[in-house]
Amino acid sequence: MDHRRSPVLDRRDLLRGVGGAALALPFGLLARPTMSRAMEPPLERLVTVFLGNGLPSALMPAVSGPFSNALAPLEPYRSQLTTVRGITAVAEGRQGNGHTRGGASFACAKDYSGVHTKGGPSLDWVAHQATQTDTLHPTLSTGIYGAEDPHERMRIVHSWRGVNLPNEPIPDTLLLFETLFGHTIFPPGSAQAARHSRLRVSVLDAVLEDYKRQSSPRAPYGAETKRVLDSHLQNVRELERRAVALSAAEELEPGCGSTPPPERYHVLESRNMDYWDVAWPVMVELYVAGLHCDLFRFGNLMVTSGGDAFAYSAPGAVIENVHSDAYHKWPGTSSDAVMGLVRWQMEKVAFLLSRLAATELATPETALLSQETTLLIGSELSDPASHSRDDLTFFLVDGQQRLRPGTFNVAERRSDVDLYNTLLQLWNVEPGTFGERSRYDGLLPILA
Amino acid sequence: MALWLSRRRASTASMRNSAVLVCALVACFAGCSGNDLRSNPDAPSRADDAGRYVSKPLASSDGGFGLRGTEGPDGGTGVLAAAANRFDGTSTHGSDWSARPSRRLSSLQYVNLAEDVLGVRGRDRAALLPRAETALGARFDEPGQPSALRAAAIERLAEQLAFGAPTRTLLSFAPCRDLESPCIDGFVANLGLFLYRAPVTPQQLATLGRVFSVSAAAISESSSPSRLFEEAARYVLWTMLQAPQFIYRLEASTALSTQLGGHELASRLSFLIWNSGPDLELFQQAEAGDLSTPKQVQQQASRMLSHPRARRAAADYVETWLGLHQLESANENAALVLRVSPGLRQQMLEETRQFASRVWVDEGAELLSLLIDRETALTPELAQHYAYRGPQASLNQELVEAFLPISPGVFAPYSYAQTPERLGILTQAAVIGAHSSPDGTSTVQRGAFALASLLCGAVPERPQDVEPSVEFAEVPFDAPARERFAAHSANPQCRSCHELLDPLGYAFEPYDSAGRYRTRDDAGNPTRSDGEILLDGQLQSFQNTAEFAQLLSESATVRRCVVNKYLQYASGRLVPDETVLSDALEQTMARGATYEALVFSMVQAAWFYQVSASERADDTEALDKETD
Repeated sequence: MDHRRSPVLDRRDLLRGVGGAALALPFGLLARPTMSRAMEPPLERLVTVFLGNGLPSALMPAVSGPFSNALAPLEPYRSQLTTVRGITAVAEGRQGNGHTRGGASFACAKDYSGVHTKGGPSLDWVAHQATQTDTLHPTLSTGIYGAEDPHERMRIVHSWRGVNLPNEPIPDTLLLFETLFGHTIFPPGSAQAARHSRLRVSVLDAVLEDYKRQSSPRAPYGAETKRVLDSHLQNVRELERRAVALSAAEELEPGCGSTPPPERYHVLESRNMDYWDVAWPVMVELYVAGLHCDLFRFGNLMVTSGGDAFAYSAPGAVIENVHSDAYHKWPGTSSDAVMGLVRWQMEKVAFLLSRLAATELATPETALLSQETTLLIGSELSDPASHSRDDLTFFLVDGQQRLRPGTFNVAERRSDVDLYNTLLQLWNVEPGTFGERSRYDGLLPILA
Repeated sequence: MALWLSRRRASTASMRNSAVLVCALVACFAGCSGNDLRSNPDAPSRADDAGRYVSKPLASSDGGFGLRGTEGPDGGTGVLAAAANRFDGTSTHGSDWSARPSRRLSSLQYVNLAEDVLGVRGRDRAALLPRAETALGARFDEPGQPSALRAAAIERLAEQLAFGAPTRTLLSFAPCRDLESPCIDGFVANLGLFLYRAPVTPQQLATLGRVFSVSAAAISESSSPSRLFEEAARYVLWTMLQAPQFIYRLEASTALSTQLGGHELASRLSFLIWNSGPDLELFQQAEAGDLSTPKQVQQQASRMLSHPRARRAAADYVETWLGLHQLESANENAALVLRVSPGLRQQMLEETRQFASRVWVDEGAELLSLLIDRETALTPELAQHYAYRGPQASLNQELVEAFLPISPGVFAPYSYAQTPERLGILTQAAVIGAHSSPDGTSTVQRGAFALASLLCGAVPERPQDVEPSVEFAEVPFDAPARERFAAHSANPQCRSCHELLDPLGYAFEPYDSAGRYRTRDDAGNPTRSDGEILLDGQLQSFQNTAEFAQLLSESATVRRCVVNKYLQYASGRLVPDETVLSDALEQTMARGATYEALVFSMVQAAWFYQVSASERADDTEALDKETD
């Protein structure tokens, strides 16, 4: 099959092709894989989902009863959710503020030494390592954010290989598209494009060779220089692997091969809710496409970040800066606005859940993506005004039903260390080895 | 011909070919026209008993040159790059102090190289810059932790540059009519010299030659013979633009020596003075061994300072020092974006760049005259912008009318001699706008900017869980700024920081977030910019922004800070060695305290000629290097 005949997914489609959101996307791209996995065990996927600015405890669900108000969008999925309340974030680093500290703890549960790096690897990376997957991308992160302090990486980077090793989120639909499906400066489907794709591999091979040479023990540089070059080398290696795979698109599963190029390099510039309402479905579609095509199995999705400064407008609430004018005034005068904002975030999560469960992505031989995917959904704060981080709520979904559904109020002072170590049992990670080990108090009773 | 002969690196026959040398010459000269929020225990005194700002000339208290979006070796972007410098394990004191090794190109350096080597100009250059920022980070000369996303962005940027470079520029490096190896090698060697800032090694030559061969073979089926060379050459260029020698400013050492080699010194010199790579003459001097002594280096520095690239570099430096890249960030300056079109924003930046180049390079004025010079250049659009005087005030018609004869977008000289509220760089829209937030006059932000950038003071860490604006809850939003900010002093949690920052920020209060002067704020309250600061050990008062700027321009603290900042820029180290800084200050003052003197104070210093000993290669590596 010639994958270059895949339906055109161009920039206009990416950025404007919503309305029906996913339905508007020409995802013949997501034609059914022919590779049967009927005889294989289910794939293991873990995606963390970060919701910025806090999930106020007062809006979180009771032990029983339907999800309503801010959580109403999740009600259709309630029976699948494991909701854990009362978690304390352990990271209390010396720098930054509540957003930074909560952001540092999210999916990591380890203290940190600067606002630019978490204190260790994140859940998705550890799961990736535990499964020893060999996908095109080890992990992939994307999302929408309008942070006041985007230079504080802790607020917007939630996937880390370790200290100072970020898996930066791709904040731009077009770049996400290119990262997943490649790009070419030549007309799509042309012989030139195919040739260019092959030559790209040669170019990256040469670049890789140079980085190897310059970072080798023989190179006349000191340790710091070699560390930087070696790190760059690892990234070029990833690029090269990706290029090899894309140049051999015919060997990939149908529908997951090369696709037409975008018009031009494009950086997401608009940081407002109207735009995100357009961009988020596209991001999710692409992300789900990447999971479906098995280009990656782990990563992070971000639905706004800590300290977002975008405007919010809804009946009865016109807010210029959601961070200072809504979240900081919680509950007080901003209750409706915060409730509206959280609901808006939950709508984004619900859309993700709906796409993971899309039946068109499954075949008789393969499971629904949702059946092979685990999600951890949470925020950095439990009180957006005081910036408290001691009553955090997390929503977990495990498609293989290895987690007990329902709402659990954990005992006082159980930390995110315990939660994350519990989750990592799904990947057979030794209990107590993730996050701040000194804060590990045992597994939470949420495993089925 | 010796130019092409590396000391230990074999050269090819083509590298000795005179035609190749001519090509390189053509290529070169064708292109020639072309807050910190951490507490710092060493910080200067913060505020006196009366809560006034206090400073003293203590340079080690520097809060870091890093500005929003800058990069530190911790992989982070931002004001805390300074902190990163401190925990990277390298000593910043003692005789081994030198520039940071393996600095990644800044985005401005990337586009300067694209202009100087590949002939990318004008609109193409402007279009390249945001992509370079995406790939390389903010415009700061610091290394950063690579990431997969960044490597991908670099690849994409390189691809666009390689396949968009003018054909005649490519051919100028070697217009090979056949695909014989000597000519291809010559092309690679010529291009490599300028892109890698050093002769291409035999291994690199072989690798790049292979890229050419593979590309040519693949293309040959569909390309005409006359275009085969050019098309295959673009794949070579694509490779080179991603190479470590291009992306990083690598400086080698051995266990026995940390002295820079000739090409490395040429590179360090050219990035300092031109913010770009060396030209052919500099390479020739290096190759001939005529670029090693301070006298030889100073001769080259004098030549380079008279080149147009020096104007561009001075503007680049001021843009970086004052954090003007923030002007373009929609998220950080929402109000500015709302009120100012991208085109006008670009003109604002260009005004400040031209201003800095003129004052420092063209006129050779004293460094701090940048703060008080009343001459500038404006476009009609900028004139209209500056003519605004407040929501209920009429436009400054005299200013508007002065630019009626000028075509849109064209800069023309203008004197603010009769406009007391405008003088020096601090009252320019680009500087004000870059340090403004959406909600008002950004007193704190501007105070932090003045403290960090002009006084080299440490901006204190924000206390845990204190967020901006929280303390204003009980103060009417339409109250005068000082009344609202008085809440800072009343709140013990906020006092220590804001008594330090607010008085400095008050000096800028009459300027709105787009840098427009107003006698009344949006609520109708009269604006004030008077205050007092303890500067150079003396309590000094000012009645308005102009007097504030005048005080700064006469301050020993500010002078030392300006030298400190440039030393940070030159070395890539955010905490310069105290002795090195004092020497640089002394040398700068002795030579007249001009930009030229500042540059000379760097290139005459011992550190400029060596790699930091902490980055010394070990014995094994040295042995390998010798036998490489």
